[in-house]
Amino acid sequence: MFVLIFQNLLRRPLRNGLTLAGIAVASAVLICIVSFGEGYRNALQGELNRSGVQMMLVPMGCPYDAASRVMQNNALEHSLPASVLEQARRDPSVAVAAPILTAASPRADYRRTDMWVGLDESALPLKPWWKMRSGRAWFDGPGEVILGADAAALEMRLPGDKFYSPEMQREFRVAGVLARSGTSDDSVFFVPLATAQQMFSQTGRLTAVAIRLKDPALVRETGQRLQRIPGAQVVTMAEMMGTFVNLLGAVRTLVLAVAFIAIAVSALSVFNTLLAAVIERTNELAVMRAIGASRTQVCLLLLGESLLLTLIGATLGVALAFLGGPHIEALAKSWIPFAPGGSLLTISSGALLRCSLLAICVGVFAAIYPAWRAARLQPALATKPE
Amino acid sequence: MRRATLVVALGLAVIVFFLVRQRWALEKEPQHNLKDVARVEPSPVTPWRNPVHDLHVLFPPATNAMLDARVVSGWTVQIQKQLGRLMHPDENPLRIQRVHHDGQTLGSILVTRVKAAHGGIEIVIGVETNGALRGVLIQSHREPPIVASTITNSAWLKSFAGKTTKSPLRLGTDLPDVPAEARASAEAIAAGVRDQLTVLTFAEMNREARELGRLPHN
Repeated sequence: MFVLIFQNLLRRPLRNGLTLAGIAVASAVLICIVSFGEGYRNALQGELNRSGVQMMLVPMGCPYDAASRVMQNNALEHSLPASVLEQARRDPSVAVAAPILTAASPRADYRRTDMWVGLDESALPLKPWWKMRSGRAWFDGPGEVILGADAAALEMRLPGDKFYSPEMQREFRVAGVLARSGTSDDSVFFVPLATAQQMFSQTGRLTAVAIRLKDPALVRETGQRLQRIPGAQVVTMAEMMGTFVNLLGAVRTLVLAVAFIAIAVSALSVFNTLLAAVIERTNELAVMRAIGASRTQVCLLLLGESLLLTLIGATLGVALAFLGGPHIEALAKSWIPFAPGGSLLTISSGALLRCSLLAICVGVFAAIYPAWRAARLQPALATKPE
Repeated sequence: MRRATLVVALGLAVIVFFLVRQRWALEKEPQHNLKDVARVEPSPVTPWRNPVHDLHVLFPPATNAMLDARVVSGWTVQIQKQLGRLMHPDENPLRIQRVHHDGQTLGSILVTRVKAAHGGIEIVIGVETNGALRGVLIQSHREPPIVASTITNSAWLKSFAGKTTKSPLRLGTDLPDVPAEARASAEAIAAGVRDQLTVLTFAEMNREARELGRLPHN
């Protein structure tokens, strides 16, 4: 029977090929979306763990907005006094407290915005993804700048080159260029903290303080203590991650709905293909019935054709997901709220199995009516001319 | 039936081949070792930031501009030989903005980025249909005031008008000389214009050859 099923599929290669393509695309989209949520959560957790930052001190206001802006190197409207840093460092549970000053320098005439970040050396342990593409990993003096990979590419700078900020009227020497990390650091100009404070008239002010604890289990108690610092509020990374994952969840539900529509369309395509096959092969199926094929055998033949079609389609979909996944990931990274570095697409065997099974079930479901119709054909129809 | 199966299989194979090739290309680290500009990580394609203003200045009667991306891969060896360096993403495909007035082509606009003394300078180049320069505009730069005042000086920029690929485009020769502080950046702009004209010449040769049926459509 398998040979017969296979030959039947080969009889209409174009129609079956298009159906296969539809199933493959729908399965691939479904696999990518299911895997994306899982990968995003893992990558976000990985990035937060990698940095070892358990909490951030940000100015009063919406804490999540503030923390996400700082994580993405965006400027805040308000700032913290530098005394907050000293108070945080005095806490017995705090292992590292790194000051950050981020500032945006709009270049309205050129329709661009420069992002500047001031750091001191205590931030280095919190940026383990910092790898130099060339040059030095830290500043030798206040007049030096370290450029993110994209910023360096855009400005065509190499270590040792001059770099000028027309808005700040300040000349720098490029100390180093970072390797691409896939984070927002790629498009940032990093300068020593004191230089950034001077440039943006923020002497003694900070945008945020990133904190790593000696023991991550002490997050709650430490957070409560630090919350008492006037003018500052604490945002833990766990709270932030929850917010990001919830934000992503809403988007994912919407996209998942689109994927299910694609699956429904491919089911209709299978239905159409098989129904057309039954109508075209009325005489042939009737002859089969006349020479002794039972209703069950005819039904199984059609179901088998559908199963083979969806099985091949799902397999192609898996291959397509592996090949096209990175491109979808690159696209998704541009619109999700906080894109962590590394791969956001983790195609697990569980996800593959679930999606493939769903595709096959949908295919078989779509074949029920054509198979039932084929099984009901009277053997007498074999005598009717085509 | 066999032929159709073969066609479908071949189509799938081609799609898979291109996807795999694209993935490898993404993972492959670019290696550059020619001139200084080539050692920098390839800069992204330069956007055309202010088309309305630039069209008004370079081609006042223009009604619209349409992108015509020309792949010049067939001329890679010759172009790189002339440029003396590898081509960067602004050059292949060469993004030519064809400027029109009521359906008639007035010329072309090219946008590129050059490595200057204090950062990248983005330039907009207007070219007449006969290949002569119509004008050059500075779209973005981060040069200090003394350099900026020179390279954005309209008289200096106007001196590019009428030059062709045959012009040397050298300071003090066919372009006015500039103060020593601005020399490096001005030379970078002149070199950028010269290089874009060179690539444009090959792109147009490509077009002519295609129109004569010697090359396939891009």
